[in-house]
Amino acid sequence: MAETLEELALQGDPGTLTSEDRASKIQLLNPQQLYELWEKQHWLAHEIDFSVDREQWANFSDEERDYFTWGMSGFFIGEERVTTQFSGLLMAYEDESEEAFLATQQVDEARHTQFFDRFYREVIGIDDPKWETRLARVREELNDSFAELFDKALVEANQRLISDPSSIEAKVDYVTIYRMVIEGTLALTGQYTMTDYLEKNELLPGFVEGFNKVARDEHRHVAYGTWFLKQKCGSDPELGALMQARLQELLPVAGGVLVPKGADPNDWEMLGYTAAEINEFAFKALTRRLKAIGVPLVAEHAGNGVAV
Amino acid sequence: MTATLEVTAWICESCGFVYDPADGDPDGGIPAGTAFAEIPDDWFCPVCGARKKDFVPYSG
Repeated sequence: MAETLEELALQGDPGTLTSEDRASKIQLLNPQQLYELWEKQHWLAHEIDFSVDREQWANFSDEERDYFTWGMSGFFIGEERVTTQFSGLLMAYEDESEEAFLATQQVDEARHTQFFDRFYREVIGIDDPKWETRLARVREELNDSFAELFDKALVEANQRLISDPSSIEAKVDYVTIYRMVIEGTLALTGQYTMTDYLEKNELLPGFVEGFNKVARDEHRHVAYGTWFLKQKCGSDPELGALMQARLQELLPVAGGVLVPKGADPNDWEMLGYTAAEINEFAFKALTRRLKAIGVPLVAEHAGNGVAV
Repeated sequence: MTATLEVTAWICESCGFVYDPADGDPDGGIPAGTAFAEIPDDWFCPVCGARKKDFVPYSG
């Protein structure tokens, strides 16, 4: 039975063939609607109360502290990365409604970065006065897979869009990396796991409040990505193939990002969550969305779940 | 009252996906005819990944 994200990706999702008709009927919000939704869901990163979190953090077990310091580091640095590597997508807008919504996404990512920075400064205690120093310290938790995805793939895709904002291929590639892999697979998985643990154990209420708002913003972003990719790739086999190729390339990298610091990549468990459970969730989160888009993860199936 | 609740559709506040009990969500393991209240708490929106608690009743 496949356990790693890479193994799952190679198998594809046989359920796609039986559900395409239903998936194609899903009504997705367009950018104008998503912009109006953004206006209703505004929140302030600097109004979250961390006073209880500070008290609880001091009493965390070593395992809890290690897991959340590592888990939150991916979000903190990831939010900073997507904030700074966003201008290409904004330049690639195709109408004024899309431009408006894309502008809100960059604001959201900056807000998320501010939220995590506050938590690191006020609760975890990484409070050097310089942003660069704080970010560098947090980066020490992250592995080579993170760098490959956020510092190489994302950066290069953004540069291609900046070079030619009219390129639909570059835009599809960027949205696939950002919305489907980074947000739609990694962020959703981390959010689900961390929130599940903290809520069940009634821990870090301030962080949970803000993290749920971060997640709501991310869901809106993923909804845009789903809408955009359905528009472009749902009925264009070449663009669909481009999207599939990028996903097959980056899902093993994403699987590497999910491995906790110092853990065996092939056999790890943190706070009761096994590698198999985490990878299955990540895979399911992505493939369910691909059905709504109308592009399977693997190009063809032989009817037995195996790619041909 | 119970009959009304059983046929109420629910909408994801994050992306607008509508869960209709008549259709269920077979890909997500939810058979057609399943009331929203009967869906497991670990179910999530197929479009954006929002949790079940992020859905609200939908009047259409």
